[in-house]
Amino acid sequence: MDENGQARLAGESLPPLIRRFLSIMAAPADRDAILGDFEEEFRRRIHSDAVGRARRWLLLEMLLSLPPLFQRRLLSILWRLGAMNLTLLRTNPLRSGLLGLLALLPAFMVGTGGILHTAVGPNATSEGLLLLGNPFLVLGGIAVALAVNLLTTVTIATERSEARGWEVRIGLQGKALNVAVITLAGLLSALIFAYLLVENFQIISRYSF
Amino acid sequence: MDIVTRIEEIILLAVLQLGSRAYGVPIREHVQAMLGHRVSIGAIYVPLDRLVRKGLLTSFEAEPTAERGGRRKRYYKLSSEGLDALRALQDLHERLWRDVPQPLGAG
Repeated sequence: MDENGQARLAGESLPPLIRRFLSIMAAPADRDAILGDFEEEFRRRIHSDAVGRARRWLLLEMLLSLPPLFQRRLLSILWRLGAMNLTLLRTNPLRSGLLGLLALLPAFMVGTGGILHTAVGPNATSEGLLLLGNPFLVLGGIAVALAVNLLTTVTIATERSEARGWEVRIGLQGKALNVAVITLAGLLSALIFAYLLVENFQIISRYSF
Repeated sequence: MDIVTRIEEIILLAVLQLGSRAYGVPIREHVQAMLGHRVSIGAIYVPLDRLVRKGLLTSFEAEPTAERGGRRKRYYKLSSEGLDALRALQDLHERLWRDVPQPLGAG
């Protein structure tokens, strides 16, 4: 039998229930130090005081320790939850990029068609080219391309330090295709917006956009 | 310098005075003796941890011992920043009390 077992039989070690309770209440980082302090003091008191007195000391000490232990346990859980690197959408960046390009196709057609329409005249674009000019397809496509690629590339890292409090860092994972799709979506949105302004919404009346 | 609370100051002084014996149990005894009231085992680790996070204390764990039921002791040591903080506190106390007539209320 190990020394712990012998000490337990002699009633010198912390009762298992109290030890278990304290290990649950103590934050993992403090568990060894705190349980060790309880054990050391309890054993010392068992030798110097009466057993009953030592047990009363243990119960009172445990009760008095509960609020700070609970506070530290809660904080350690919150820090663990908060201090994480969060990639919003864990998916293959190449797949997100290709899906983004596909989703941008209607916006690209409308944008190109619009430019040709303005530059060369109505005959420059065919009805077939602008079949994809449905506003839901165009705007929805841009939204899908932006969302999928932003969520794939953007990382949010939060960290808490005693001195500076919570810090949130937002960064891009640097996948060239995703960044290109995000840029293209932005450019197409700007182009369509500018086109709508310049053409005084003619495209809306003619092509239901 | 970061603001150091009174309990943190007492703990820093305890760690300084205890030297290589500065771990939870003797630190708590020292703090209780200084404050004149009971401080629970759980409560002593709150300011200790804060001081480590502030960089005023460093900590390391020793080998497990039988007297602690196979648990490790966590020893604390003053960092150079901690020593500077104590010097600044000592200087502040001296300046605060320098011109106060003694005994108090005699002037």
